[in-house]
Amino acid sequence: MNFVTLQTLLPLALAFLLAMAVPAAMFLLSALWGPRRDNEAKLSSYECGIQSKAVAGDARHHFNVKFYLIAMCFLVFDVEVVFLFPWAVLFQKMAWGGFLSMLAFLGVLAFGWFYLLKRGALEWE
Amino acid sequence: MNTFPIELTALLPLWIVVGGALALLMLEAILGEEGRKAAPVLAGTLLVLAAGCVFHLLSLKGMPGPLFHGAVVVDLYSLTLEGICLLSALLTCVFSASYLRRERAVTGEYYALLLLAVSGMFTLVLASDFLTFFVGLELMSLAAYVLAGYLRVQERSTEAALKYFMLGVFASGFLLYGIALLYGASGVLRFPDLRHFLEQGRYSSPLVEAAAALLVVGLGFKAALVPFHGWAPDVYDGAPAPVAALLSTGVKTAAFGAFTRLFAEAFGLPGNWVPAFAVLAVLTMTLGNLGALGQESVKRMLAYSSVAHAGYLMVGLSAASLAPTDDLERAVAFYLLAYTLMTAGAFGWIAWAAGKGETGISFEDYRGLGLRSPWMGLMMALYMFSLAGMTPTAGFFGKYYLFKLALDHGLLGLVLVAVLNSFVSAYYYLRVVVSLYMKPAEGKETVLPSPPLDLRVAFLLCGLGVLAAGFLKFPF
Repeated sequence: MNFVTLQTLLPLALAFLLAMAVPAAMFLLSALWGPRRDNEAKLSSYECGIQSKAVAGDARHHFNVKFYLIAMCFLVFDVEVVFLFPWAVLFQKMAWGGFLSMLAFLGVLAFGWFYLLKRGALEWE
Repeated sequence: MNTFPIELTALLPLWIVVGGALALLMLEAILGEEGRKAAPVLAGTLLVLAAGCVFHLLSLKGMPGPLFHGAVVVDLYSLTLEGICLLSALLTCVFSASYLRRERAVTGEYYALLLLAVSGMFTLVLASDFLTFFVGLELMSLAAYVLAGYLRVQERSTEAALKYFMLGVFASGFLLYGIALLYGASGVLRFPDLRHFLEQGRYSSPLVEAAAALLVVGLGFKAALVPFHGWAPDVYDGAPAPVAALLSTGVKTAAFGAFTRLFAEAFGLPGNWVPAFAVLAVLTMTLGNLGALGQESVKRMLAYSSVAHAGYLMVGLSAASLAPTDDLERAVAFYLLAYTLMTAGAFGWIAWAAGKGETGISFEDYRGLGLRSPWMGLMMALYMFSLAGMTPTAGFFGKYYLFKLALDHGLLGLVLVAVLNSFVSAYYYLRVVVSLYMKPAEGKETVLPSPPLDLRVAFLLCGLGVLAAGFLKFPF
């Protein structure tokens, strides 16, 4: 069992403080010196690709199912990258075994992408 | 790291099935209609090929044992279970071919999902490590959810899929929590390592106990044991009949197979687990049988019967801490083989006999059918006799081995309850036979259309298997 001492956590704590300080400073600076020219659309909450409540009304209506399809496809390929990071870190240790395993994994994913393409899942119309 | 060859050959059935699933998807994507027509044949061929590999591996002198640094283990038990899963998938494949044509719902994806489910089952029965175990379980379950809702314009089918998905995901959550606690307590993930850890006398750790309880709950959901069985009748009843055959046989075989390995090999079950398992067994048998008694639909009756049979399996599992692991695994594997033959046969029979849209699934619909379609009637009667546990059939031998195992290790009361339950179950199984042969048809005298050759072979395989399985030499 490895015990984590406080010294080993120091860089983490510093990074955390920095991460808090930078956005705080930015908010503060822009609040102090930034120009303010507000209008209704600018003050409404930002929603990606969909018009905000102030403009388009309630969000509780039917969305085209294609949004969900694209979102799911995106997720699959996005999460794939997460698997690549630990693999890349240990790449030298694993030699050919690791390389071939990852090739097989990426092969299956590429296969899935090809299948999506062929079945027209990525076409909007 | 020059260990690839043995891993390639010993897991060849898995590679065939996974590659086949991908090939089927591609076939449909590239060829369209043509690929769709070839899908059942290709899927069936690949399953037979995989079965050939399993038989070959079974006939080898030495077993490959643990592979991939102990992530999976290829031994007689896992190979036998692979064989049973393949049998279930192959039967499903044949039943589906004519069923999907009749329902006008043929797609290549169906067969791809079938093969993916099989690859999940393989991973599950091969697993010797909690991560592999979980991946296998999820791979199998995800494919099964989609298959249950395959007829997506039918309300019953989508309802089945939704229920199955919701409760299945819950069960996975329990299971994962259990695995996490276990890892927290022991720091190991492989079954033999866990066994080693527990043998150092740290059984009484409350963390381990809680983890084991969570694992029982999770697996109890998947295997439809009684307090967690609520979804089973609705899902087996609502899913298309060939899918119900797969869910109640292949999926259950894999889940129970892994359940047995997990508790017999990893936990080595301390003695105080006997009452817990015994209570689950009694509840599952009794409520399953009582539920089946009142059904008017044969399909739903079979769904409850599937719950009851999980209870019989639990009778054997109750002896897990007392009996040698080999004896237990042999009894469980044989029961699963017998159960697969008779239950898949019965569901497949319904898939054919119920007609378009599965309209004829009640006892009334089969009145006098055995006299009008003697061959079909005979097959169903055989499955029913076996399910009831009549003497020369596989169903009898399966129960005999399980109950004897429990009896040999002093669980007399439990076995008595099990035998009484078997008597009760005879009532509703024989009711099908009575409907088939001893009741005149009222009104319309339907004659079943003669099944195509592949379906006949599948029914015959189940029928002969039910008669012969008890006399075969078992691989271990």
